[in-house]
Amino acid sequence: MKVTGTRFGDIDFEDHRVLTFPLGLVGFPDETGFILLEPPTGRIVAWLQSTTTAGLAFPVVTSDEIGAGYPAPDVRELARRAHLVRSEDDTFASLVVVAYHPQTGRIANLLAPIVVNLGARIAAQVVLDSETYSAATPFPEERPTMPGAPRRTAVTAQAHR
Amino acid sequence: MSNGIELTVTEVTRRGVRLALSLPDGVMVFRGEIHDAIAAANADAARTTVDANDARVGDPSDRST
Repeated sequence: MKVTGTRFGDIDFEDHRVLTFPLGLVGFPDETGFILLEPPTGRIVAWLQSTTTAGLAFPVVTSDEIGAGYPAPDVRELARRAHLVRSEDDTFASLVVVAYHPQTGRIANLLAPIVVNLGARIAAQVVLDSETYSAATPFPEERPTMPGAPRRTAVTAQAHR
Repeated sequence: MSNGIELTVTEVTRRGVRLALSLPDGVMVFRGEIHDAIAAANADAARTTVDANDARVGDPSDRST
């Protein structure tokens, strides 16, 4: 399959790479298909590119970039709550949507991470405790680019059993 | 209600009404202001461009799946 994104041009991908969000993302309920474009080595921001809307892509980082203890509850519990568990052998990853504001710099939406069942390729944006997490948390600037960054490959976000 | 959501009045008293909400698997309920904050954050993220990130996310030619 192919999607022509407005940011990244033509992107060819195989069907099994598609992440299905049965409920879409918050505010984007009709966007149910995305592919994850991974960052080159040394960079941390990946992009979730819609498979149906060329101009729609969300920058994301793995929750490992946020720090130990995030998210709470852990990703498996969040997957259970979101009905993303298909078997005990499933592995999961969690992603955090980030954004960039010229005035405030990069912010991360820690309130609503995205949980991915890596095997089943299903995902959901879940909501954590609003007393603990914010949808607009300042996020450090990205690490410097490493030379010789390889081309993007498959989803290799940190898996959690 | 739509999308398999059921709202049932389970009790009516002088003090108020008790409701029960039945939801399909995976559907979550959260306050309207929480929904709005998350939707706004998602919209901000969707407006973020590669240029706005000062190209730190890499050259578009790096991106293939």
